[in-house]
Amino acid sequence: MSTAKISLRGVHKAFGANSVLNGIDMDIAEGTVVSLIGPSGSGKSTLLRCINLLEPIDDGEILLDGVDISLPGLDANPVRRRIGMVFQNFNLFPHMSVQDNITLSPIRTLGVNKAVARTKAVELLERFGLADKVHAFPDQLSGGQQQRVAIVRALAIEPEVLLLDEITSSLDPELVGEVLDVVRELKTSGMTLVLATHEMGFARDISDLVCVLDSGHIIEQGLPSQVFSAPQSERAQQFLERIIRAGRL
Amino acid sequence: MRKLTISLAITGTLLLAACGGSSSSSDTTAAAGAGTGNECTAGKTLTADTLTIGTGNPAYSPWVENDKPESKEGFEAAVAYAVAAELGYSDAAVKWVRTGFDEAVQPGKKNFDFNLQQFSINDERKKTVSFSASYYSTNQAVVALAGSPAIGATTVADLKDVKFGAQAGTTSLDFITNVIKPSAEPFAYDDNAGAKAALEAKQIDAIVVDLPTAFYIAAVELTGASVVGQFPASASTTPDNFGLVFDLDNPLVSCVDTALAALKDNGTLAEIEKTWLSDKTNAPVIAVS
Amino acid sequence: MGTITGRRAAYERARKRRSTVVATVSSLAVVTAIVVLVPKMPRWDRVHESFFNGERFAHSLPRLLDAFVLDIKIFAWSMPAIVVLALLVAITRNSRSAALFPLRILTIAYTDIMRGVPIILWIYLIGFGVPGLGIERPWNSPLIWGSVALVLTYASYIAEVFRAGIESIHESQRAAARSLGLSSWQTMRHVVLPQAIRRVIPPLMNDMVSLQKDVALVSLIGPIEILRQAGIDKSKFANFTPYIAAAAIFLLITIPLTRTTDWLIERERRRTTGTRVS
Repeated sequence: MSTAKISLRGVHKAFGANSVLNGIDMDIAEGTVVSLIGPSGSGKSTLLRCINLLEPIDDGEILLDGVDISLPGLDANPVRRRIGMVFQNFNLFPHMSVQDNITLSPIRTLGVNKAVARTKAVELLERFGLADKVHAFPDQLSGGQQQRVAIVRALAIEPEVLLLDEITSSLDPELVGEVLDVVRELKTSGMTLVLATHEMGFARDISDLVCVLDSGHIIEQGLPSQVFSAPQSERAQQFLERIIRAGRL
Repeated sequence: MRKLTISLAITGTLLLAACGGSSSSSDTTAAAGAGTGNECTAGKTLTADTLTIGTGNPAYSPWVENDKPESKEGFEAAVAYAVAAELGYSDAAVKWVRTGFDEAVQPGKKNFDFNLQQFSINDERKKTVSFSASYYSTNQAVVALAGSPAIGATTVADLKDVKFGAQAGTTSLDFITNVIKPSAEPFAYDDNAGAKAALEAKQIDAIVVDLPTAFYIAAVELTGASVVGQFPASASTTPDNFGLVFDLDNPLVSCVDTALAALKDNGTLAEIEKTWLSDKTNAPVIAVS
Repeated sequence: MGTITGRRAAYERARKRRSTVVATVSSLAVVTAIVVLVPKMPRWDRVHESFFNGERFAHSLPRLLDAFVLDIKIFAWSMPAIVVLALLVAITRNSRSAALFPLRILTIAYTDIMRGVPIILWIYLIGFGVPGLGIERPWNSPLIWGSVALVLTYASYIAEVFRAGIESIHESQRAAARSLGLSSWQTMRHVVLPQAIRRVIPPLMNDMVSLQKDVALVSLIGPIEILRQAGIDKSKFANFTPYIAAAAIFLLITIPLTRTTDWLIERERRRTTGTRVS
């Protein structure tokens, strides 16, 4: 019996003729940080979007606390309140203030009282140094600030797991640090995190488990020290070599 | 049809008799060419040797039967051909064109020598077109369906709360606004067809039109409709005098007036009226003052 | 730094002065030309008499203004109905739920048919036809059914405008909203629609200006609104000035609307595409 928070068994996903995930097996233990790395098109984003049911899988199963959440026809909304997601392009709602962005879901899906939700929002923003932006609009914030607000927004509904889909890839280099700090803090607080990332150094530092994806397969999986220093599969070796040569590790 | 032929025959005979003896003040003597006008009309028509007459599209009964003025059936069709004959035009020399009601009395060059569509002679229209003498005189009348609040009205006061409709740009609409003065503003339509549709849809209670049209609507066009009454000539209301409409200051008017005078004198006009409109004059009177 | 700014500022000032002078002179020239040359045109007297007759204008104006109130009323109760119906149609069109499939087919048929026939036809068909089925007064009023015809036709056009707006909202917005646990309807209501509507306000206002004028079509089935009243006056006095007066009254309302639309479009443009390059 798996005690993993999230388990994937034989997950397949294709878009038309294009097969993106070709049999993914992985376990994500509670309170751990799992990084997904790999070349573009390897299926990292798709895998994350399958976990929170934004994309329905074609075959296989996804278990959350041992329960199959990938059953076709299952109501996804309750699942999504337990598994949150943060996107590469922040995707904040431009017509709403930071406060409204954060409180929208708690009020509408959890029935939280508006005043309570707002207080909670301010607390979260303070935790990440953004308390003075509570009434600002997304277009008034820098990229790093927007992404941090996006993380706060995802945290506001108190998910059990947070999926982070290349959340620093759209940021200017000097803004990446502040976002990574947030992720570190989340890890410290014991949150289960799954991140797809190109930030290899960060992944090595923070992860409990690293999975290397290539063409929809997990070609290497293990502790960061193993995967980054002594990858066993040839493809993984080639990939890491290229990363190092680009000065990104 | 037969009566008309007889009337025309009588007219022709009288004409010849008149030509023979009288000293008429104008030169409307024997036809100049073979049925293509007389000395008066020479050079005054749109097309030489042709009399171009305009009427409505469609032309309604009892003014024109079956929308075919060429058949000479219908009061105005008959009058038109009588005038044409009096002016020396054979039937073959008469050409018909169709115009809208409104456009015929607006300023501008006409595509007809004269037009007849129950145009009431009034001062405002005289500023932009010329009229012949009147060829028919009638009153405004009210048509309504059974069950309408207008039924049974004997005075204008009885009609105060009635919802009226009429064709826009007509003296009928003016009559509603200026004489009946109902409490609700009347509805106006592009033509009587619209008013009839509204009456059937019960959006209006009654229509105001000239008396003969009222009879036709009631008898033929709508089921369950009746002529509630007619408004007589009095101090406050003038009867509608129908005149033929011409281009402003058209010299042909005097020729036609002479022809009309002759037709009145020899009883042709009365005969035509009797043929086409005789059963369409009896309606109760609605007092106006 | 200071020198360059100063130099450009002085240049811009001089250029602005010059262009103000040129603009003023050329405008004066055009206006003078119109005022002086137009009356010299042949038949100007006739045109002036027929179209710009001061006495006819003053005489008709009160009646026209009175009739215009009806146009305003029809607009005031039709526009909200149009927006609501159009939103419903657009949202239904956009939905992905299987249960709404028959409704979706219905909305496609609705927008195709309503847009495929001239509005005048609908006014007659619905304004006369429906009451002719035997509805009792006051529910058979041409104002009601004429407005229904206007609402049904305009909503079919505006539904397409809303639909374009909704479909222009990037899928990532929906992804984010759904990831937060919001339902399809909540996503539409709180995330997609507010953005979509904001985006289509310029074309929406265009249609509003259009509707302002098309309300006059109700005159075809009886009510005497401004266009009909102008027509009655035109017939009675054989003068087109009442139409000019009616046009002036329409412009009083539509010009502020069109100016506002332009301002909104400009504001939106500034927000999304940045400052103009020279």
